[in-house]
Amino acid sequence: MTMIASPHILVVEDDREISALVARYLKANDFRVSVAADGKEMDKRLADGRFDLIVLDLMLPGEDGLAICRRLRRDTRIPIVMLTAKGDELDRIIGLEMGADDYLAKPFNPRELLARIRAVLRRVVEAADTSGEGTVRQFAFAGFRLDALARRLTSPGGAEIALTGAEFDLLLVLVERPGRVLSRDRLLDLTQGRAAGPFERSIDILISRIRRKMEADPHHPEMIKTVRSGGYMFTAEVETS
Amino acid sequence: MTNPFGRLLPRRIATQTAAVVVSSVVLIQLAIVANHGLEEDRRRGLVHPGTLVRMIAATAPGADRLRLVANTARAIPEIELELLHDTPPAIRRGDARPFGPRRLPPPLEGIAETATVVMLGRPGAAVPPGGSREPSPGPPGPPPMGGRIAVGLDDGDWILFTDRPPPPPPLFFLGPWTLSIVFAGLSSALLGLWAARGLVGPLRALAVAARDFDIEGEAKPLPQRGPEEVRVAAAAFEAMRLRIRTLVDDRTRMLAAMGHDLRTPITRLRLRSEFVADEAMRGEILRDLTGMTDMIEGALTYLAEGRHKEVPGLVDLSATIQTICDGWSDLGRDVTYDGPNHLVRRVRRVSLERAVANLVDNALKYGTRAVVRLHGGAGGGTVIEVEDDGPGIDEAQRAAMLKPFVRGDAARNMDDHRGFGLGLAIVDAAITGHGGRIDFGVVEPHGLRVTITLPGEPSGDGAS
Repeated sequence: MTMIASPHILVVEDDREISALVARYLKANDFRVSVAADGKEMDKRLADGRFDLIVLDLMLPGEDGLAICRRLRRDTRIPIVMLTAKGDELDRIIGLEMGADDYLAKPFNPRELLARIRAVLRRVVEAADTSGEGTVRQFAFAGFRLDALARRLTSPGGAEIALTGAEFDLLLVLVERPGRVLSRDRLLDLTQGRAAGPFERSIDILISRIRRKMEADPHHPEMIKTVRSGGYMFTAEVETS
Repeated sequence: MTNPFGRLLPRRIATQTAAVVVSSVVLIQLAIVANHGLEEDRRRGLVHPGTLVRMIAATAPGADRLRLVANTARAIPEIELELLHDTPPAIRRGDARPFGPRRLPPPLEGIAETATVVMLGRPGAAVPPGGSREPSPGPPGPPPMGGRIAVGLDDGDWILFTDRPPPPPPLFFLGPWTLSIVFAGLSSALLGLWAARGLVGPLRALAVAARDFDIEGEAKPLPQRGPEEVRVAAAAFEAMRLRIRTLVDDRTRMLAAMGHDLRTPITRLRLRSEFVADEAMRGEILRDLTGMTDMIEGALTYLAEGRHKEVPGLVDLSATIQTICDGWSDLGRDVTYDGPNHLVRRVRRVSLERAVANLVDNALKYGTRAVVRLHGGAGGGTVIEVEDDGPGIDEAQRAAMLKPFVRGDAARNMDDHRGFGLGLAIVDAAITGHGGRIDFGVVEPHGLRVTITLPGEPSGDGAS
């Protein structure tokens, strides 16, 4: 993974104290940070300098976060992490559909915000590296459908299958690289950056949980094969859209 | 609903009832009078024996009188008429005696002035002894009808009447009386039913509206018909519903606003906590903040539950429950899932997930381990059981535990201020929203078992 030296973050948040605290926290974690209180101020900052990512509050005076998000997505490819006071699933999906790269509900854990920002930045870098295939958001394999945007997996019968964040990230990594042997270290590296719990499970446990939820016979997996002394390989044919 | 006669109908229940009663009584009376009149007509149709006697007396004795008697006997077959030129033997023997003028049977009233009337009794029946032509105040009871009566005329001739026994009455059920009473009863019963429907219908509509009263749902318009009392009650009910709705909406808005506004200071505090150097202090601050967040989220979730309806979709419940259990296992808690690898049902995912998660939360709050069981119930239903090894809930407290802002004794005794006591209330709202049921049971040797039973059809997608 390539780490960008001191990325520049723009925090758009109307609560001065929160934006100051977020700026201070991110600076303490090796980011350069600018703040804006609303859409107009944001436009001024964007005109003045180059930013690697925008942390955008949903509830803003004047033009609201969703409208700004839609506008930014239309004009630029700058990554966006949305902040909102609402924790509803619906808001999350709407936010993601408006083009946000990730979403965090207030009150958020600052460490979670840091992890999300890093994950989004890494994804952008990877997408740039493998130019062209970074925008794929829908996958279909063996009757399953995986929506990377809404973070949703549905069975061949159309039933929604719940996955934890870590499970989803791991499956996404596998589905994005069908037919390739991925070592445990490589998988750990590719999925790192998500909220890491105090008892972060090993890749093996996550794989077995995913198999139990998806494979017809978890003991004789058809989709996620174990490669002896190598790691794991996603063997099903994947269609992307 | 208006009808052109509406204005003519009485409006109050009392007047309506009175109108119904009066009209049915009048109807019955009319039926009785009509029936009685028919009887009277039939009786008037008969030739009065008194008239007959006077006619015979007015005719010259001899051939004319004989002819008249013969013609009359032919014309009125109900009466056997016989003309005698001598005193009948029974009277001559003194076995029968004449009636006083007041005691004549009704058919012969008014002929005693011109004739002597003697009751001879039924043909073949015993004749009362000691009969005489003198009027006597004596014999008890009115003379029986249907016997032979001898009427002595002034010129010595006697007329003998013999009543034929009356034709047997028609079968009781078909008799005109019975029929008319049955008719009257039937028609007043039908009238009563119709009136009751008219009266009770609007009342029932009001009762149904009161029963289905849903603060969250859209108000169905109440039927504006029926007696005035019902209309007044319906209007009062409507006004009350509006007041409750306003009250609930205000309360909801207030709580939601408080929740949203509290998020900003909590977010600041969380950020500030990152700059607290003392790790232990930072941990305590974070724990309090998490507790506050949980309370606010709980309150907002409870307020939202059942409001903006989540659309049910196909969900693999096994995966959902496994995900909840795995989440806790990852935090080092003893939570196990016991059930099939796949069980697909049509449910509101977020709502049901929250319900199960809350039950597991509770189980781990009061116990050290939790077991979540899942199995398909009868008829495509679903049964989810959450068991813990905690102290359980007293039977008497169980129903109250489902209410919002109620916490069990165990929770109060624990030094734990997380939550408003909304956990089970949210579960209850979610499960009720699915048309399901929550039951509490006991796990031996100690522990609580909460059973969620969901109705439903099996979806096409079984094991995938």
